[in-house]
Amino acid sequence: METIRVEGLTKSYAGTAALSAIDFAARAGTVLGLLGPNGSGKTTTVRILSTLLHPDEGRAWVSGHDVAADPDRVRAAIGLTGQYAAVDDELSGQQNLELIGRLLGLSRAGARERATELIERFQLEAAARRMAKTYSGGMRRRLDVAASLVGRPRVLFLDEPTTGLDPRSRSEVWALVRELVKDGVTVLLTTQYLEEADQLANDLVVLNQGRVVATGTPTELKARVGGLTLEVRVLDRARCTEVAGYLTAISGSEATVDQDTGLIGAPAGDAKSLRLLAQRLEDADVPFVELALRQATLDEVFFALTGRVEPTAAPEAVAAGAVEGSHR
Amino acid sequence: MSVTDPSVRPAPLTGAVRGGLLSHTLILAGRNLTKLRSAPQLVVFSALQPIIMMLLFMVLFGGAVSGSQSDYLQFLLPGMLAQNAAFMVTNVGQGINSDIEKGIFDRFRSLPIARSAPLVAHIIGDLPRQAAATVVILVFGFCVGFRTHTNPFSILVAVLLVLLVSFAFSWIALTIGLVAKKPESVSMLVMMLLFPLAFGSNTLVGTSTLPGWLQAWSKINPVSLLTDSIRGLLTGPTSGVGSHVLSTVLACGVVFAVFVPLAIRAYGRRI
Repeated sequence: METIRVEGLTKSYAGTAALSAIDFAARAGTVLGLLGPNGSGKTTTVRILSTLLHPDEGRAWVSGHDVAADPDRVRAAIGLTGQYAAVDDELSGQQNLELIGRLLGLSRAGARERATELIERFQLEAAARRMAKTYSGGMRRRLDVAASLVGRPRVLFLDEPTTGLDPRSRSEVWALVRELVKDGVTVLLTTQYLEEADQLANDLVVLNQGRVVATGTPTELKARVGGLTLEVRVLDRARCTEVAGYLTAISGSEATVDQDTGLIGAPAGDAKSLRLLAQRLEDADVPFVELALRQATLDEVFFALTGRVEPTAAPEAVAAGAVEGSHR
Repeated sequence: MSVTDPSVRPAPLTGAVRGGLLSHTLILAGRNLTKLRSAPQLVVFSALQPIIMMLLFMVLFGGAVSGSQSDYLQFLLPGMLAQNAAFMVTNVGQGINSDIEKGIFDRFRSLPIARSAPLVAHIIGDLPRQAAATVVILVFGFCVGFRTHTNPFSILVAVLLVLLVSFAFSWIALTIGLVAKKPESVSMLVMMLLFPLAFGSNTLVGTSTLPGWLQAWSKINPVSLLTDSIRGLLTGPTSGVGSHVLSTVLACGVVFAVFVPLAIRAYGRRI
């Protein structure tokens, strides 16, 4: 069952294409992560889906209503938390929420009750009567999300909800999203943090330069890009080259050594290689601090899909290319 | 298609979605009142600048223009009220611009409410502050020696006329607030546009002392027309005040006719 459906959505600003015929869908009661670098079209997509922007071409449905033909019904079904906390600095937290409640047709008492409810849920009781301009970044963001929930939306758009937040506030937002999904809300979340997408999203749509470059679950995407990686970090940096040799022999492909971290890694076919390497290290009496077999990270997926070279991998890639070139 | 599946619970449409322009506007305008209640000193601040200017002009020009400061005050105060009708609308432009800038406008527009409510609310919402500031200036004038020679009803009409003119000028400020890129540039642009209105007028000196080209402008300037009306309504003579009031209302009509469509167009472009 799809709560959001997007077909051939196209939008350009002054001749520059922001979105080029994108398609995707979000299942009811799940988190869809819209992942992409700056300028990839994430915010444009959210603005179209929340009826703030008209697409040039294509159609989109939210909760079964066409965003262009029936915007009021879409607005009645959604909550929007934009990139910047859209709260009135000179009103208190309570007053901000009451204002939204009144606009949504609640009575004075009803709006007050709903505001108090959300203030409690978002742990803003102590600051409820203070002007929002005195709030910290995390509190503002919580108030902002609370404001988008006043109307009990079935679909929530969160545009980079954790950008600029400290790690603690970030995990608070994550906990909140999980809680909302548990209540059956469908969440569309944009982010440029891969960890966030990995943590929260059931499905991912990777955008790059206004096009969908991949869709799937985080696990699927990781599996698509690469298999497993075997990594080891030895205690004695002097023995890095020696260990890289062992790893190369086991893996069958050249092991890489990260000079900054001392991490030695190579692609691994299966779990057996882990045991082999552990055995080899023991035989050679090399003490290690870290030994792991891991799946490709979403970062690797992201860089592979968007064609951006992972900064730490760049020198190695160049080096590998040079070696290859000299063989020919 | 599954998105139109009836089992997807259709969100209840709040009754106010359509035709709720008035109620939505009033609720949004109430935002300004809430702020005014929690910081009533805002009224004093907005009256402070015109009061200081009034005292300054009175002390500097009183002797030269009218022979005495107290005589000049009788002439000056209505002019200051009229000037302030122009200057005090800056807030409207800044308010709307900062709402757009901060994304508050996006939030309102993502709600099922009347499209123009957030726009009109900025104008309606600032009226109480403007009314309070006007009254404060008037009361201060009384304290420093200004005297009316008419009746309370005329005074009330004078205050309402000030508000009508500032309501009209609000649309100018609104248009600028919608066009300007940053809140900081709003006040500068509004000032630039309102300066010729505020000072190219009979607010400080009689029109007959102005150069010819400025006299021509002053005669159709809404601020001058308002000043004439207020002078008649507060200090008399009341004969001829009716035509002054009528001209002022007509001038407001012209401002509406030009700037309401401009503001609506700017709104359509900005969002």
